[in-house]
This record gives sequence, C-alpha cells and structure tokens, in this order.
Amino acid sequence: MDSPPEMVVGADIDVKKLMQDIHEEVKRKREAGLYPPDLLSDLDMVAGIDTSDPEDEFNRAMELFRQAAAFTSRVETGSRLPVVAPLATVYKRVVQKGAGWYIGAILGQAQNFAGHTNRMIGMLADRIHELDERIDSVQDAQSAATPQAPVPDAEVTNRVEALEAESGTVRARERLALLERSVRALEQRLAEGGTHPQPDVTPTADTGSEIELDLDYVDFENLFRGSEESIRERQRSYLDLFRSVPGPVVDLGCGRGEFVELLVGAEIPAYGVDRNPGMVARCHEKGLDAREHDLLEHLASVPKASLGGVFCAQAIEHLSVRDVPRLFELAADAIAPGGRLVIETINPESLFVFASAFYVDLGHLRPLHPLTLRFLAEKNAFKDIDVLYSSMPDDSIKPNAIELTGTEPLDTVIRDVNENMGRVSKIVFGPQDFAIIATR
Amino acid sequence: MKVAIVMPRFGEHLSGGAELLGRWFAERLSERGDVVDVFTTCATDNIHWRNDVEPGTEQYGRVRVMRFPLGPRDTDLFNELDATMRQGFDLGDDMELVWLRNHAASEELEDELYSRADDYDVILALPYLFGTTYFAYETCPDKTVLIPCLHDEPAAHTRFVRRMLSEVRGIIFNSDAEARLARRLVPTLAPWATVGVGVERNEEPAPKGRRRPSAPSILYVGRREVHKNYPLMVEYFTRYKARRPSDLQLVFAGGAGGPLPERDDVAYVEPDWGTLDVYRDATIFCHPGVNESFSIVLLQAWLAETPAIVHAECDPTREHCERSNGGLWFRSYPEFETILDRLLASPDLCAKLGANGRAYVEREFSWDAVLKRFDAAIERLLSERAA
Repeated sequence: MDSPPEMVVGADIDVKKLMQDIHEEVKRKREAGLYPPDLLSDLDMVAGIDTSDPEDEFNRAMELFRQAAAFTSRVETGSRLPVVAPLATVYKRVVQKGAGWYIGAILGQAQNFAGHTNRMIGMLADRIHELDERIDSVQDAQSAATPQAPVPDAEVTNRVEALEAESGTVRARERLALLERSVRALEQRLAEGGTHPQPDVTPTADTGSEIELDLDYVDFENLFRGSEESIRERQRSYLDLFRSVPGPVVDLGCGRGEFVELLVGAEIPAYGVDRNPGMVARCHEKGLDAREHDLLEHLASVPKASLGGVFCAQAIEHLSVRDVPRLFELAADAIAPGGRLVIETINPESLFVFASAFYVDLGHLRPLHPLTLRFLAEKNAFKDIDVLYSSMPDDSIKPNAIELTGTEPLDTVIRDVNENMGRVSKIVFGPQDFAIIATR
Repeated sequence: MKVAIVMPRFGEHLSGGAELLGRWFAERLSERGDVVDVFTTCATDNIHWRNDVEPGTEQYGRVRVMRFPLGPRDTDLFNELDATMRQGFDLGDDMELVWLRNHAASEELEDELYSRADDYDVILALPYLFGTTYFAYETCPDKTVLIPCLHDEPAAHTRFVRRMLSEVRGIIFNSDAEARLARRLVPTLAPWATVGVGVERNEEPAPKGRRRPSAPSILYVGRREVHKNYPLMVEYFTRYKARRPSDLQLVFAGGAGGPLPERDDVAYVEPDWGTLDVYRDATIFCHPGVNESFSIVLLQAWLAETPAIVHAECDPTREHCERSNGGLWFRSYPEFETILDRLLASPDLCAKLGANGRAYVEREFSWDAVLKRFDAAIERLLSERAA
C-alpha cells in the first residue's frame, strides 16, 4: 500500500485546496505508473456520466448490462410489517436456506449465459474501439502530411504507391481517396468551430439538419454497399408491395437507382430522388428519372395525396433526429389512400451491425429502432404496419455448436453451453436490416 | 397562510427524496399554524402506480390528506412512449400529454383542486415529472408554485417541462445548481427562488458510552438503483479492497433495489430512522449519485458529523461540500482511492470535515432558516406576477 502523505489539519479546512492537493497526488501517481493501465481504463469507463456523449451512453448501457448480469440468490430477509416482522423474517430465512441448492443451480446456468454474453459484447466493443483508433491514426497522419492544404501532395502519393505495392491492388488508392475526403470534411467542420463531428441527437438544438459530408457516395457505394446487381436482388422482395398502388412511387435516397430500375421494369411509374449529384448522374446514365433534391424538401413539394408510394432504403439513418419524424409526417401527406410506405434501415437489434455496417458509413447519424419507426408510422395514421427483417449474417461468422461426445455428464454441459451460445448468437447475429412497411 | 400541496404519493414510509420533502413541508407548515391540505393519489408504489389504498380524506397530524384514485393507465403505451422519450425523441405536444396522463394522474384530483382553488393562497406542486404536478399547473396556473426537484435527464427536456418552467406562477428550487440547470433548459424562466429543505436532529442525545464499531466503514443510504450510480461505488470499493486489503466495510442502509454484492465485507442494515445512529456508525458517508437536486441523506450524514464523499459530476452535492467544507468529491477511481487513503489514515481530518458539515447544516438548513426563505420566496413569487 502506498502510504499517504502526512496531513496537517488546521482549524479550518478548505476542501477546494484539499482537492487540488489530491488531484496533484493522483497526477504524480499516474505519471509514476502506479495505476495499472487496465485498472484505469476499466474504471474510467464506468465513471462516465455525460449522456450527451455517445461513447458515454454506450458505457452507461454496458454498466446497466453488467448490473443486470449480477445475479445473486441472496435477498433481504428483513420485514417492516407491524407485529409479525420477526415471524416474517424467520419464514423468509427458512425459505431462502431450504431452496438455496435449487436456486443456486438455476443461477449457475444464468451466470454462465451472462458471462458468455458479457465477453462477446466486450469483444465487439474492443473491435469498434480498434476501428476508431485506426481511423484516428489515419486522420492524424493525413493532418501531419497536409498541414496547410488538404490536397494530396507528393508524400500522400508516395503512400498510395506504397500501399498499392503492398497490397497489389488499386483498392488501396480508392480507400485512401475516401479517407482523404473524410479528413477534409472533418477539417472543414473543425474550422467552422465544431470540436468533433458528433451526430446531433438533441431534438431541441437549432442545428437539426443532416450532416454535410464531403464524401463521394458513388465511390463509397461502389466500395462498400455492394454491386448494383446484388442490391437489385436484395430489393426485389419489396417490388410486390408497390404493384397496383394509386400513383407513382418515389425512391427517396435512390442512390444508383437499383430500385427505380426494378419498378420501371415492372411497369410501375417511378422516379428517384437523391441529394448527391453523382448518384443522380449515375441514374441518368441508365436512362432513369432521377432528381437532385433534398429528400424532405422534395416530399414537402409534391401535392398532397399525389404519390402511390414512398420507398426509402438505407437513408433514414442519415437524417437528424428532428428530420426522422418529419419524414413520416410528410410521407403521410404525400401518399394517397391505399399507397405504401416502405423504409429500410440497419437493424440495431442485431449487435453485429455495430461492428460492421453501421460505423462504416460516416454519414450514419444514429441507428433507429423498429419500435420507434412503428410508433412514428402509427402516430401518422398509417395502417397495416409491419416489420420485415432481412440480411441475416453469414453463418461462417457465428459461433459453432460444440459437438457432443457421447459421454455424460460432459454432454449435458455441452448442451447447456450450446443452448446458451444459441441465445447469445440470436442477439448478436440477428438480421442486419429491417423495413417498416405501412399502408396509407 | 392556506397551502395546498399536490404530490403523486404521500405517506410516512415512502421512499424518495421528493416524497420526504413534500411531507416535511406539510408537517412544518401545519405545526406553525398554516392550513395545509395535501392532494395526492391512492398509489404508494412508484413502480406499478396502482390504487393501493382507499380514496377519501384522512388526517395526518394537523394536515388534511385527500386521496384520489389514479385514472386508468395503459402501461404498454406508457412504456413505449417513455422509451421513445428517453431516447431523446420529441413526442410532440399531444403524445406528451398522453404520456403524462398515464404517469400518475387523477382527473378527480384536478376537479377537486379546481373547485377549491380559491380556498388557498398558494398551491405547491412537486416533483416535476408526474401528471399530478403538470395538471395542477394546468388547472390552476396562477396559484401553482412548482417545486420541481429537477434532474438532468431526457424527460427534463420535454415540451411540457419547459412550458411549465416558463409559465408557472413561481418555482422553488432546492439548490442553486438545480436553478442553473433549469436556466439552461428554459431561457425565460418563471420567477424563482432557492429554498432547500430543513434537516434537523429529532432524536434524544446518544446514550453515553455508545461507540462507533471498531471496523471502518463506508455508508450508502437509499434505493439501490443504477441511476443512483451505486454500481460505480461498488466497483470502486471492490478495486480499493483489492489494492488495499483491510477490514473496511461497505454498508448499505434502507431502500430496496438491485442485489447486494455477495462479499463478506458488504453488509446491509435496516436502521432506526428516528436516530442518526446509522450515520454515526459509519466512518465515511458516500453519495455517488449524479442526478440529485438536493440530497437529504447527505445533510443527515453531516448532522451526525460523518464526513462525506460525493461524485464530482453532481453539482448540488458537490456544491454542498464546497460550501460546507465538510466533504470531498471524486471523478475517477484514482481520486476515490486517494480520498479514501487520506480519510482512513486521519481520524482528525474526518472529525473536522464532519464538524464543518454539521455546522453548515445547522446554519443553512434548520427549519427556521428554511421557512424564513420559504416565506420570503412565496411572498415575492406571488407578488411578482401580480405586479
């Protein structure tokens, strides 16, 4: 134990000075390496309080989870009942003691499950942190290489060539270009007085608009979203929902126009809207009707009850917290009775998406829960509301069941473990997307 | 003065600081001769909000207590709206009212309050988050003085709270830190004053020869709820004991909630609340909560001359420590560890902090001092609008 310094306590104590002294002692000890790093990081994590910081919000959620996972068979046996309190206490103690062996066995299984879940969520969190750090280090390198102007200079070019040589693929150039654009956008925000590009999650804030990112979404989609063909195949399942709707269908955030193509191919009048000129240009190349417009402004501009349907896939998670309910309100006005609303987004009920899809896209502000979207649809008088889940993660990334050995009691344990892992797997590796489907 | 107090639950053994505050004001005001009527519901449990006791009028000392049944409650709808609100979404005016109507509200109470409003000089409504409070303000906006007991949580950012804070007749805050929070939420705050709560010793002197237990201990008092931040304290205590093996104990007193950690050095006591013994027996009182508007238990600990440690992120409790020189505050584990090292090594330091704390409570929070501030506040708040 480190012996505390001698204290001289006078008649008057000034706790502010005392706290200054304590802060200095803590600083000295930190610098002397007297706190193991794991101890500091672990404990600083649960000490977080500010819920306006998403990182802290996650830590708080983890703390709630840990707390919920602290099972115990020990409960209070005291009683406040008048007169019968001693009797009630004895009764509670007898029951607790008598049933202890049985409850203990059940608790063992629950603790086993909680332990696996805790570990898996911890691994996912570590992975997310690792990705964050990698992004930070690339940003730092970029800032150092381009102190004045954020345009690629000779050093960046050299790094591109080095990366190309290393990987043997032009993908490196594309990835670096993407990162350069991200860094430029971050620098621009910093220059404008922002500290860090956090999503605006305060519904009362004045700045509720979509975050402007200087990101080439055509490049981005080509790299990360998947080929146009694969997206068309994925979205084909929504096509039947728009047959016989009472008017044209608009695809909000149409991207490269995959779903507009499907609609037009099925002879359903349709057009796309996207605020990204590159995406709109790509649609025009394919001969599709696409308009460059803000999604909400466009919806607000169409005559009331003039649309047969609104389709919006993987776009609502780019909207600010104020614009999400607004989208539903405007869609309710724009869609004619009998028309359809289909909104697809990333499914936050599957924890795996936070280690993969969600944080890949810098434009994603916050995940949206199916219950939230269902609520918004209900609030705006949509009917026949349904949630459709899709995009199951590949089986190859899920934990495998342990094979039985044919010997007891080992197989009993293995069956328990497999059952518990199955439950964890269901939470962690659920469907990666969902769509809210509603009729006007 | 004729006073109505509107609060969602009223009773002797209810947990919760706001419930205690409302009851104490009712007792003290009636004892000095004011006419005090309490308008409350038939609920005693703040989780399920059921009509646990019969409606009707009863006498509690000199206070007349009128209980009204809660209206029908759609729990599923409430939970759905509540979850949405707590994610930071704006429910809109209509849905907020639905949320409130399903969160401890009674139309019969509102009808009665409306019909009797002229009988009272002032209507005190507390705390901010319940239907009884909001609808009291809606029913009698010109007579209602809000005692919000405000915390910085998503519900505090709702439209109805901001409307109430800016349009109610007046507001009585428990601490300056709480008033600052309200000013951050609402730029145009209604007339307000800071009063606080009286905390006094109401016990016989401790019997001679009574000694503190030999093992040092840290005391936590109240409900074991995650939002009270008690898991953090358990985590810190566990780490402290791992790095500093000793006979130090963590003692929980009163209040239900989450499970007790299964450790030999963790104990639970059901104290005699008529005395301050539970605080006297502790070496250090720890209050890790970050969502407090006042903290009665902190002041009770100081009355027992027990030094306190609080979380640095909680402005009201930290300010109590700063103003009293009776407690210290931690923001991280190393600070917690260093503070404990110092306090446990120096009974003298503990004694000085405890004595400072007691002097502060007796000076600032005797009922005489509090009621003086209360009278001045009511007079000013009722005249400001009228002027």
